[in-house]
Amino acid sequence: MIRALIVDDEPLAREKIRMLLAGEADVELVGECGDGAQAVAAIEKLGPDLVFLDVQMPEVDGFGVLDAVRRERLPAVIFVTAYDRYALKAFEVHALDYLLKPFDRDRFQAALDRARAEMTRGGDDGPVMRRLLQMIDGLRAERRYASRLVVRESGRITFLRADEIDYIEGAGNYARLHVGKQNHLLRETMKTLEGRLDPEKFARIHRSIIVNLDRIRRLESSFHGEYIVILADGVRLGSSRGYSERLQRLAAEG
Amino acid sequence: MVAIFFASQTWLSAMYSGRTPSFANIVRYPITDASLWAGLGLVAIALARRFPLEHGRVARSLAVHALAALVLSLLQGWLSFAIFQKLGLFAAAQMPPARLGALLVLGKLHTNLLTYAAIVGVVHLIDYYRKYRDRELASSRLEAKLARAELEVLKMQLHPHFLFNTLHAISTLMHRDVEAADRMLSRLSDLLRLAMEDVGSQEVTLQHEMEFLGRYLEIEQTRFADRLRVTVSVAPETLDALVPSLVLQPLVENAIRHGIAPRAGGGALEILASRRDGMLRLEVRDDGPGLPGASPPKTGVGIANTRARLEQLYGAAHRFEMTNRPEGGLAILLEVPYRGAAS
Repeated sequence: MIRALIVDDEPLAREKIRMLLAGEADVELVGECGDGAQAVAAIEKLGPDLVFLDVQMPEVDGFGVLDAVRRERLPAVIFVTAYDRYALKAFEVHALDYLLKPFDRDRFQAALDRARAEMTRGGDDGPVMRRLLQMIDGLRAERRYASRLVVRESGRITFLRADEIDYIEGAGNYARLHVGKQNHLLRETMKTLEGRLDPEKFARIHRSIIVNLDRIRRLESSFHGEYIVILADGVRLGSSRGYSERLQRLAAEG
Repeated sequence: MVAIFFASQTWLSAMYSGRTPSFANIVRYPITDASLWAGLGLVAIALARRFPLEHGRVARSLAVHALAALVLSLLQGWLSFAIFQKLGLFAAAQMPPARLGALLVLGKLHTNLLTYAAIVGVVHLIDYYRKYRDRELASSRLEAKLARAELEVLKMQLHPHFLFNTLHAISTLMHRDVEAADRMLSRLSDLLRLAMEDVGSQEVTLQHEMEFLGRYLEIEQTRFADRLRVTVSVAPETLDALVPSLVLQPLVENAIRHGIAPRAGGGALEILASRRDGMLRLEVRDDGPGLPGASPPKTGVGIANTRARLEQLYGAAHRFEMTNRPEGGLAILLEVPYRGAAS
């Protein structure tokens, strides 16, 4: 039995796949999701074998879903797209199957048959799965800086846009993301986070502090070239000498 | 070439007067004339460029050219006399050289004045032709740019994404509700027709714009099932006002995409139009999450295009603002000078 999940923000688009799947005796529909965040949670919780994944969705799109899902939970994917040259190019490059909207039963059946063959033959490390992983890595490298961080806390998955973050505090292998009055714990070191965030927007001002430059209201110099950084909401952060160079340059730019 | 041309003239005029000129002389006269003008002509060309006979500067330029024509013509006459004398062409002349010189200079004056005028004339001709060609090129470039912009507008309104998703929705409806599929197909055709009509017109009446929007919203409501609730409140006196064609649709699309579509329960959309202090005020409100945080809003291509178009059409005389509403959701405010379609 193939356990399938449908992800699309449009009810009618989900309905079409549901209708086409109704005729397939070996496919069981385990769920439907209307957005990317739901999809990540559903994939990790339900562990479907096959996901029909719409590429264009608001907030977290199809690629964002794959990027956020834990590697070991990654299912076989049939991409569904209306029109997206960027996505189509990625599929062609990595020889991945996709459905173009609108599609008919024949085209749907062909994609499903290929997925079936792949699942019985390759399993978790078949050639298609490897190509899928390559594409995800390629897209991530192309994007260079994360626009979004995925936080997993006790059965809940939160998508944080990078520009929502006020500042980040490091503690060993964990980082605490401060977002307004809330904070989230992320299992990542300051070093990897610093590398993932756009240096135009974030600066490391201390061994254990990264700050969103947009949030800085004032700098007060303390001593020996160190600063107290005061954020728009009044939070005071100390910079340390080894990391304050960036702040000095910002201050000099006026 | 000029020399040969004038040589034939010299030969003919010599023939009239009953003399048989020597070949050497026939050639020498015009070659001297032509080479002198080749040099002086450069001065004439420079003057023609510096003082073109253009609208608004004609009197001054004419004065300059009259003076220059006289000076250059006399100079040419005198120089050619000096050269002829050096060449010994006047060895047989019975007149005193000063008188001969004066006669020659005056005798050549008319031809020289005309030569000067011809040079200035030709320079003007060439320059006008060049300018004309440049202008033609510039205008064809501008036209191409405009056509591209119009195409962008069309593409922006009828996103391939929107088009294919709508077709996909129709293909789903066909299996379950033929009437609904039919309706949607017909709305989509209306939309395409209206969008095609609008290509090329920068402004349309608000009434026309609302018709377009009505079709668009009907399709979106079908696509999002019952998750999209829309209220339209347009003051009747604003229906005649001119708005940039297809200006509201990207704003509404933005509200649906970000304010309503991501929420499982859907949301409400409000479209308002009113007239206030000589301005037409358009508002698109949703009750979604609004703009995030304190950072400047990240906007899509649709909004960026709208901003650019408003800037181009109205300059500083417009307002375009996106703000979070105190009760939640995003409000997009657009104010343009109120102008009726009749005026």
